[in-house]
Amino acid sequence: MLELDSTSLAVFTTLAPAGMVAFVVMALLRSTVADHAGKRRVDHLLAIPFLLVLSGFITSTAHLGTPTNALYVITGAGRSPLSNEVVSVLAFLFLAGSYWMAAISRDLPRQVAGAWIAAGSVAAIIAVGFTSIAYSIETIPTWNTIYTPLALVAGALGAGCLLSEGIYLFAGGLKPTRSTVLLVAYALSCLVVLTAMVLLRIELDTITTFVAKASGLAMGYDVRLGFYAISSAGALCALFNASFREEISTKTRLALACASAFAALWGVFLVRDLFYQTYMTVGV
Amino acid sequence: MGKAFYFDSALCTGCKTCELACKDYHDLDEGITFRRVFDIEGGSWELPAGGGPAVRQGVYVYHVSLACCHCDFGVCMEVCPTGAMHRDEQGLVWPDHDKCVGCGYCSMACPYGAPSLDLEAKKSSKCDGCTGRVADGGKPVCVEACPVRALEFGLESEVLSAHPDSVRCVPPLPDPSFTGPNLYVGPCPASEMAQEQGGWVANEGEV
Repeated sequence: MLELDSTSLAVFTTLAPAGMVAFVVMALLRSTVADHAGKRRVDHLLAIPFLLVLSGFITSTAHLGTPTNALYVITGAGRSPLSNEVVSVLAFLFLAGSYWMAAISRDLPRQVAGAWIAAGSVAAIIAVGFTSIAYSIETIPTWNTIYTPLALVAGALGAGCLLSEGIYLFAGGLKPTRSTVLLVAYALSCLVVLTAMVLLRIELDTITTFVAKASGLAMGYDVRLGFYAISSAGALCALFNASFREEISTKTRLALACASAFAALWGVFLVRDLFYQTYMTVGV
Repeated sequence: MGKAFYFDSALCTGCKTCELACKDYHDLDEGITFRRVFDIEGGSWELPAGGGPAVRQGVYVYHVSLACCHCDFGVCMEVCPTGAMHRDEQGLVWPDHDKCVGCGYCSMACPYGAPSLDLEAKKSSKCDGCTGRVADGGKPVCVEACPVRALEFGLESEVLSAHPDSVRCVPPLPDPSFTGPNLYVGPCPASEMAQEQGGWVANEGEV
């Protein structure tokens, strides 16, 4: 049985990758905004993905017994998959947080802003990559599969696209074609997550040791995947209405965007929590 | 060449003196055990077809005394984000509590279940091979406590020359290729039956 506080890790691996992908998508969309005022509005809203990542990161420290020794993690980049993950997330938080503070307090030269936000985006991509492979440990056969990074990256990609679309509604919304692309990306990502988790479920049946069968770890597996599908479909419907129904009020539109974000993140959390329940080593 | 444990499954009676000596020497709390003794059972029996007194049976039981194997490729060290889990000059692996962040990744990754989180100290804790005793020329306390001398400890070369027929894995231990454990096991007929027929850990709740 897993000794870790897996709930805090599930929260972290839900919020942080989704927030980092949202930051990257928003940064990409920001580069297409022509007017200065529009860019400033987006800069203000970049606080949302930043805060999502920050809150996930803070939550993750709940599984540490002695967080006061965390400095050794930070100085240990390259030492282990976990230290790489932590250092890369911290690098993102530093770059994104400093950019946001600088951007809202003064007019940054266009090239400086572009370089700064690009650096934050690169850090985000690296951090999502490190987070996705942090659990690829050879002695844990149920985690050491292609489905682990695939489900995490796809979940983050989908939630990040959906969050970006929702956040842009607070800045007046995107062009319909871009909204459509983001919503389709979300739907496709959800399908990838579902496929990966179904294939993992099939693979669990083949993993056995002298003391345990991995198939026994999958109690409630299908039900949880069902809830994930329902949450994701709900999130998609809510945001579709918020983005494309012109007759609804701004208040309703924003409420739908918030509900959609919550449903999407809840769905990802269910899958992440399910992932931690499939823990089993090759030994005793 | 480093140091290694040898465990003779043919001699072990499952008395758990090694386990208790370790707990006593390291002053471990109720919830922490560095060395655990697995009771492995298997097989079945059947009544004779035409009746009669003789029951045909193929049941077996044996024990495996298991602590940290101080592996050559210790996965606990590989996943440790702070470098707290390290190998000392004796070749023994243990966590430096001044660096340990208590993340639990070592206990998560170890296929021998050797490290565990000390809930009071909020740090990883595990068998250190009695490194202090070994540095003074002694042996781990579990080895000295074993009443039937089923446990031995020494240079790997000495262990191998004394027990050339030893193996590195009997059920329920994992394939040694994962971590390169410095544990050699003297197999017994029962462990060979378990290898062929399967079986179960009879004291799962205890270990």
